[in-house]
Formats: sequence, structure tokens, C-alpha cells
Amino acid sequence: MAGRAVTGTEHGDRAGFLAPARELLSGGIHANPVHAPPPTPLPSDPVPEARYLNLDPGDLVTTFADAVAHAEGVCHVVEGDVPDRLLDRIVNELDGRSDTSVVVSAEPEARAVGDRLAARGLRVAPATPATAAAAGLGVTSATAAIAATGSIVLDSRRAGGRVGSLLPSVHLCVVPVNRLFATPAEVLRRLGSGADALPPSLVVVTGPSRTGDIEQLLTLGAHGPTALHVVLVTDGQRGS
Amino acid sequence: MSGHHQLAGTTLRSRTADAVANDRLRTNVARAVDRFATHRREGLGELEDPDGLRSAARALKQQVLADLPGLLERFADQVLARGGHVCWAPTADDARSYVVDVVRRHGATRVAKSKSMATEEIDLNTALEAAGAQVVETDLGEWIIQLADETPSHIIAPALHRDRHQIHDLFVDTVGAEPALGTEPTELVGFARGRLREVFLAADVGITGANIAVAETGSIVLVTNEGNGRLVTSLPPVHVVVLGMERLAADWAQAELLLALLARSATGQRLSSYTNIVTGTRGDGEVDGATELHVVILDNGRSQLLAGEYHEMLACIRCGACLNVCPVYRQVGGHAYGWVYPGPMGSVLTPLLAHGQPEAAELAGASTLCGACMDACPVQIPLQDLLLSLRRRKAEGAGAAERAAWAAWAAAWSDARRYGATTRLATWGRIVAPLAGRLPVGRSWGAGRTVPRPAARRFRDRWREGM
Repeated sequence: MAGRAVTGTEHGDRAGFLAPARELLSGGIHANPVHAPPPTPLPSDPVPEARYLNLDPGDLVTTFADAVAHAEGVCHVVEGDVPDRLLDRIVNELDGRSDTSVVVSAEPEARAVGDRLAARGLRVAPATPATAAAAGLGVTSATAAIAATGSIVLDSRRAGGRVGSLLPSVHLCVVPVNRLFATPAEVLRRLGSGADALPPSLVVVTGPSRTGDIEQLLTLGAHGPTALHVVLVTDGQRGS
Repeated sequence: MSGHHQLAGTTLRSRTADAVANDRLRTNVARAVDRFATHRREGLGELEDPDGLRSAARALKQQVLADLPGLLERFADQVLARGGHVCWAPTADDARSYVVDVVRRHGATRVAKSKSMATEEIDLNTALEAAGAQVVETDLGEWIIQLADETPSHIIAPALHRDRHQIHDLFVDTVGAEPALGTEPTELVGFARGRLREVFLAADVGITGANIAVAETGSIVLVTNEGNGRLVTSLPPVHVVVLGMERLAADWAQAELLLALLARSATGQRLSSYTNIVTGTRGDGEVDGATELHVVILDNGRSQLLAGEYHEMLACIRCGACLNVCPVYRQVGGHAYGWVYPGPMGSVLTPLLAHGQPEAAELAGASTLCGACMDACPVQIPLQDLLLSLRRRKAEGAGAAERAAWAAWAAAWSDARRYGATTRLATWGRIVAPLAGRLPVGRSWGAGRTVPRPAARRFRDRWREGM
């Protein structure tokens, strides 16, 4: 990757910056005498994983669908492929809007949906900042999904960018069920392995964009999509 | 530490008195913190043994702080290897001048910011504006207070002191919203969305803070609900991160545990809408993302806390839970504290970071020492112990008159008979209590308070007589 070949530059005095901290830490770290901290684990000790009471390990699909809804998203569990009736519904919903064009990201699953929407007469273009800013719908695919939190994980390297899931008013994401994991730990704790494991942008999306900044009332569609549709494509055997 | 322009001509006492007398403010604050606290309880209730996780998070933060220099080196090396630039900034001034330099070098006039308490702390916007850049805060709450020329009143909900009508009027007065704009939150948010969308698309430079910096991969984790963190890091060609040096996690296992606690402690969500992980610059074949990344690692007084009892304050993950449960914050809101960081975490952090500014020491008094803050803290910072210690530090510098007064009080109350005499005296207060709020001496104290009326008979007398 060209972006990776060039090393960045360093400014300021690293050793001088770190010297006070090194000196002050040389005597070890203070333990609060009133509320003593728990014993600091050895570096080799694992950090405990959160356990989720809303997680049914035997039925990740249902847990995921419930969690997407809990985060104000809409989850469609479908068998085999994205069904025609769902695409027809999307076309109908876009009909009434001023921004009826569609952008798709670079994943094959997203492009396949884009082709089928184009066949229905919609204007479909690859997602760029310009096309996405004017689009009503962005179609993407996820590199992973997380049942316990109802999250989808978007990879800028696979998608060819970020704006397809960010600028359009509605975001539709297609995820094959074999990418469904139980917990955030199963996804996030693997990110350190492999030198080039992380793309420039990896984002864990949990529901549509929202704000509570006006009277702490939930308002959807602050800067990103107002609605999130997640299509989980199963192989027909629920609970896998 | 700057960003305390509300202090001019006021004291903690006068600001508190003003806040307590402002019924609208108290209604707004109480409504907000009650919602946050309820959601937090529900969110943490979905985790098995949340207290065990909090305890583990405290331990991992202790470990991070003990290893901080090594972790910072590892993090910086990873950022550099992925093409990012690193600036070591011992002081706020170093950080400001580096960022101003980046902005100048690009001839940037339009800067979009995602909410960052570290940039508030170093008052970065003022420096950028002095350099000729137009800086727009893109978090809705931050934008509101920027338009109103205020500082944040809550670390995750900066504008919670304002209700919908006040926000509507602000939009009309400052950014030309039509007076006919509705006051429903959806209408106000829709207006802001349209205005800020233009800012994102036109910005030359994006500036963010960081919730977590992960040493093993050189990643910046930015958590937002609105999506402004993603927009600020996706659209402008240059991304500048201002990172408090303590915000490190060694690896993704640590980061994952902190993320499991952060959103639930802040808003009760399982995860915030966008947990954005930025690692290096735009890749080949990508149509967006910054092509230039700068990470400014800020000390500004932090390393001095590493030795001694106050180091645990550096474990703070800025969730705001301690504000929401604090009986003092609930009554006065964030502005009465007078500094950028309010509530219990602010009352500890501000005096520690505010180099030689004596006004900050009084913040340790803005607490009841009830301990609700530590009970709510996802990393179990012993806030009440640190507040008490700061009071001790302040008392050591108290004047002779104050010392004499406390010595007299201590002498009186450490003797049972003398203590009894004072409580008998207090029952006489029953007669004057109803008047206290109206007497010249008690008027300002009584405003905003219900003056308690002492009992006619003391407890010890009732006890002696068999209740």
C-alpha cells in the first residue's frame, strides 16, 4: 500500500517529553490507602471479557436482530439472497424523496444489490464524496456483525472508502451470516494480530446516527444516516 | 490550562449562588442528569458482574499508567510506521503552535472539529481563529455553545443547560434561522444537520480528540453518536488528533473492556452509534479519508501527576457518569464550576492541571464527599479521597483567622459537654429560622434554599426521656 510505504515525521523532543514521566514512575505507582486498587495483573494475565445478559449463545441471529432494533435500526433476516420484495420496498420509499439516487461501496455484496436497484430504474453510482452527498441511499456490506450489540463493522479497504455509509440519508448494509460474531471482544480482540490487519478506517456501527443534545431526547439522523437497514443473509438454518 | 474565561470577576460562591437562583437552569440540568443516570443503570445492568468489570478496568488503567512512557513510544512508532506524523507537546502552547503551523502550511481557512475536551482544555479554537482560520464545532451540543460563546456545561452533553426554546432562539439570533423554525428537537436537529453538512464538505482540516489510543496498532478510537467524528476524519484531506498522553490502551483487549464500559456509563447505550477506529492515512483505492494525519501528544501537567496519589485521575475515560450522580452538579450545572471540566472529575483534575492558578483550589469544596462519584465511575477512580486530599492541601495554605476558627470549633466539639451546649443553643434557632431567609445577613444564603428549622427538643433529651 503506497500510503504505508512512507514513514511519518516526528516533531518535538521524544526523550525530553518522556523523561519527567520516566523519572516520576521510577519509584513505582502509588496505591490509594483508603480505597485500595485491586492487585495489578501481570502483563501476561488476560483482561476479562464482558459477558452480555442479552446474548443467547444458541441463537445469535435472534440476539442480533433484537439488538439492531434496540439500537433503533431495522434488521431483515433473509434466506439465501436479498429478496425482491425488500428491494421493491426500498424503491418505493425512495420514490417520495428528492434525493432518489443510490451509491454503492466496492464490496461484491453491495454491488450486487446496486445492480438490482439499477435494473429497477434507480440511478446507481459508486460511492464518492460527491455522489454520496447527493444520494438518498447508500448500500454497503460489512466485514463482521456483532450479535450482543447489534453492530456492523465496516472496513474502508474492502468498501473503497467511508462515505457510502455516512452521507446518504438511508444506509443499507448486507451481511452474510457467516460473519456474525457473538460479542465485540470476538471482533476487537483480534485486531492486533497481523501487521496489516487494520484498514485505515474500521468503524463499528450500532444503529443510525443520533443526538441527545437537545434535552437529552433521542433524535435520529444528526449528521449520518437517519435510518439503518441491516440485511442478514442466512443459509436457511437459523441459530447458526 | 486556559479556557476559563467565565471566571472573570466571579467566585465559586457567587457562580453557585447565581446557578441555584436560576430555576430554569436547575430544571434543565436535573432533567438531563436523571435521564443519563437511569440509562446508565439499565445499560450496566445488561452486563454480568459490572462491578467486577469496573474493578478490572481500574487495574488495567493502573497498569497502563505504570507503563505509560513505553506505551507512548510503541504507539508513536506505530503511527509513524503507518505514515502519520507525531508531535510531542509538553505544554498547551507547544500543542497550539504545532496545530496552527499545520493549518497555516496548508493555507487552510476552514477547520471542522469533532468534540474534544483536550482541545477545550488548551483553548485551541482561539489560537486557530487568531491565525485566520474559521473553526466550526460539529458536535451539535458543542456547536450550540460555540454559537452562544459558552464553555461546555457537561463533558458529554455540552449544552444540556439549554432547553429547546433557548436553542431555537440562539439559532435565529446567530445563524439566521427563520423564526418560523419549529422548536421540536427533530426540526432543530434538521436545521443543524443542513448547516453543518456544508461545513464538513468544505473543510480543509479536521481536528479531533481521541477516546482511546491503542499502542499495539497505533490506532485512534473516536466514539460519537452523531457521526461527526467519522465525517471530520473522512472528508477533509488533513486530520489532526490532539491526544491527552494518558489516553492509552496497551492492546485491543484493554480497549475492548474500556469500550464495553464507556458507552453504558455515559448514555446507557450498548455501544455508541459510531466507534471509529482510525489507523494511518487513506489507503490505495479509497475515495475518502485524510491523506495526512498528525497526532499531537499532549502533556500539559499530566506527567507531574504520575507520582503520588493523584495519578488515578489520569485513568478518567471522560464518560460523565460522576457528573450525573453528583448532588452538587445536579443543583448548579457545569458552568458554576467555572472551568472546562465540571463535576467531581473536574473538581479533581482542574486544580491539578491549573498551574499556579489559585482560584482552582476552591473547586475541592464543591463536593459533599458522599462518594456517589466513585460508585458510578467505570474505572473506580477514588474521587472522594482525591477531593479530600485536595482540601487538605488547600487547608495547609489557609490564613491564620481560618485556622483559629477551625481550632476553636474542634476544641468545642471534641468535648461532650461543650458539644451538648452548642446543640442546646441550636434549638433556639427554631425561633429565628423562619426569619433567616429574610434577615439582611441571611437573605443571600436563604435564596434558593429551604432554611431548616431546628427541632424543639434535642435528640439527646428525647433519648434520655425514653423518646
